Amino acid sequence: MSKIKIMVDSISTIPWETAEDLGIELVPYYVNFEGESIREDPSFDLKVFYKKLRQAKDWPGTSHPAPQDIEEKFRRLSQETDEIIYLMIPSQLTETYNIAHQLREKFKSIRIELCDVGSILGKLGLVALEACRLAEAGKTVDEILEQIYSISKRSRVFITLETLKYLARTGRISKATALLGTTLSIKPIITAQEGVLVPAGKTLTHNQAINWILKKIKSDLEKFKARKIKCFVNDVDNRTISDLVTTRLKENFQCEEIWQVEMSPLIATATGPGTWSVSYLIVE
Amino acid sequence: MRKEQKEISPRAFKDMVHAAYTVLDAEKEYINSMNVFPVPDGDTGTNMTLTMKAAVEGLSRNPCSTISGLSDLVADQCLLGARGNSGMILANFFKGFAQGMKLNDRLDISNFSQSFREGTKKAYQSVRNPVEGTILTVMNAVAQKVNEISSKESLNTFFKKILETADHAQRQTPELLPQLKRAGVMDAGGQGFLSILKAFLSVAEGKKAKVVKRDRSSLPPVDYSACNNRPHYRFSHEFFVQGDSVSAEKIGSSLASLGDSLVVSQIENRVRVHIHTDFPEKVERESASFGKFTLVAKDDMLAQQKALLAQSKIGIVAISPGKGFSQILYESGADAVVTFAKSKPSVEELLEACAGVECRAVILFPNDSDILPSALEASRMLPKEIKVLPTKTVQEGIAALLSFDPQNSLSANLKLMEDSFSQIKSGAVARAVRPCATPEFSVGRNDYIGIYDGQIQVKADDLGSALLELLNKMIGPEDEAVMIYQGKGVREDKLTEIESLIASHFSEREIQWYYGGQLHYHFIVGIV
Repeated sequence: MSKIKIMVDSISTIPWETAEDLGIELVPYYVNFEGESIREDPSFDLKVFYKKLRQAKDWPGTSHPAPQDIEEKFRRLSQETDEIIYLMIPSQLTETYNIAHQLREKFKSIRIELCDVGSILGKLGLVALEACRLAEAGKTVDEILEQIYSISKRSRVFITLETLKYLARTGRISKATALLGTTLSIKPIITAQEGVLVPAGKTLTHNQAINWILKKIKSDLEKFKARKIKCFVNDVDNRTISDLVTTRLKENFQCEEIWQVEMSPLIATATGPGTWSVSYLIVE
Repeated sequence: MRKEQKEISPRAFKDMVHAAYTVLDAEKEYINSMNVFPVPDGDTGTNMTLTMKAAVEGLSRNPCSTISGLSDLVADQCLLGARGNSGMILANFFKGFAQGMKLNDRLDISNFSQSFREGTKKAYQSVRNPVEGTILTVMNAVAQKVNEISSKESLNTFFKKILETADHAQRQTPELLPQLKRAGVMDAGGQGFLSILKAFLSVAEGKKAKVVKRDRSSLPPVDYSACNNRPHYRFSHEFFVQGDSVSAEKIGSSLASLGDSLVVSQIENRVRVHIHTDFPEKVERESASFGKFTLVAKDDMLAQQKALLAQSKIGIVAISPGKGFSQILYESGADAVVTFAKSKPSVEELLEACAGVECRAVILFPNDSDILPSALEASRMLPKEIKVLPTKTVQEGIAALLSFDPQNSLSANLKLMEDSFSQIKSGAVARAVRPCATPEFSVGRNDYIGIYDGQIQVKADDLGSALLELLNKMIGPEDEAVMIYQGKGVREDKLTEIESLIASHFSEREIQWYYGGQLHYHFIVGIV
């Protein structure tokens, strides 16, 4: 039997080189900037992008993966395997699910499972990495799918924003929520719940936000009677805070894995400069 | 039933079943309101009532007149009509009870006791993972106790003792099950079983079942938010599988990995299943492979839980010293804001604001040490639960409000908020209305003063210097955010001048300027 292939959207922030090592297929998104449509790929220079972003007169737009990108991947992988699990961005946020769903019809000879775990960023990354390990361990597609749901129940993502205004512009968080604290300059914390971005907390400073997240992890560890976590720390051009968060996580918890990765350009564009996030998985 | 009666007649047995239904039906809202385990979906009372209703309906259709026949009938009818986890457990109890009665044509204390033990055993067996602190615990306590009761006692005394034992066990449920303790309730299923035993006693006493009609409005406060974790599984699924060779055991094992709260029981060629699962289609496919599948109910427990949580909203009422602050407080999540200008708000105004918020409990933020006594007074005067969070300044109030999490329990929120407001440093700049002295300096009338930690710590001839010196006293190296709220009387040109003065001294820091609109203080400062 051929090996199951794992495909995952680039917003999982799994580094390109890691994906290549593990045989995970990353599906790139696009950023539309200054009249150009830029594809996220290993050559994408985040530093240059962030710099341009800060100086940009017109805020860039984003778009879902091109159908031909997904089709090309399905086609290539179908040469190697009979079974693909594609972990993707929540269907509430983009059209990716519909596109992949239609394309799947063209590949009837192989099994393609589209899997929306209702999350983004490191949480999607953590789930994808676990899925990859299960496939490596010889689990069947059904077994992996079932595991994925229980894994995603044990994981969370919390995103701390400098402001809600960028996200409000994308229409991906409700107007009423975007108005919360418009006068006061707060650092809102949002989370992805069942595929929808919702506010989770409001803090005045980054330090308060870090403590807020640490408390959540602590209470989840208690809830699951567990000791260890795996986590992702993502940031939009905010290395200082990302380092600080990583240190605090290491000081407070047993981190089996800790991935410190810059945010994907798509999320950077949608959430604005200074954003950072922590995703974690409670290890069984 | 006559007082010294020692045996339950078929007629009396029917009366007991009827009474059990009547009492459950009357108390179901009360029982529903306690329902937090395994999922807070508020339907245990309703489910147990529907289960007993099926038994009552069966009795009215069937002319059976022997005790063993009647108990069989009740068991089968309960199983057919069972709803929910507790309904299934109850039905299995009656099933076991009926098995205990198989060879008896008389129902006396000794037979009743033996059948009760059989019923309890069956109830435990029907659940894959029995949990203590539930209806099972109450059944078990009684099953242990009946051994000790002499068979020479009157039925009246017998049922009284049973009820006392059950009541005692029911009070222990929160100690055994942390979910109950957190929510501040006893177990709902156990409460339902108590209603049934109460009904039995009423028949033995020859009185009409005495029920207290309780509806949601007169219930004790249940802290649903303490059990707001998502249900472990989303759907509650109940169905029959019918076929010539169906087996409860086989169906049970094939479904065990698909969910929890699994209860399976068999009536001849039909198997009745109750399961909590995320994969209803899979459960159906799997079950249909054993025989004909008939759906009884499929409930979305997540939706049920959300509806319940809405009922348990915590409201927030905050006091504000100015229009700007009022807007900020509203934006930060307050449900009502009482704005005052020259004179502090009265107890009556606070009461009115608290009463106006539709919620289970209110957290009241006085945001001023002078208003704290009125807030405490108000909290004692409303029937609604009011907790006063002793914020001494509006800056503290804002910080506390931001840390409020509607998903947390009232007590967890109070703790979070206290942590958060105690971190904020509060200061203010005003003009002295009369001369006074501090240990370090004396203050003349109309001098500008800076107050920090409730003490006058700064004196200056002009407003800008007073603010600057105050900030110098307050800001520490660890501080991240400096928020300055300007008062009503500060002129625009004066403000611009002060803003640039402050900016030039703290060029490394981002200073946030807001309009507070307060009357007495030119500036109110919050630092964290």
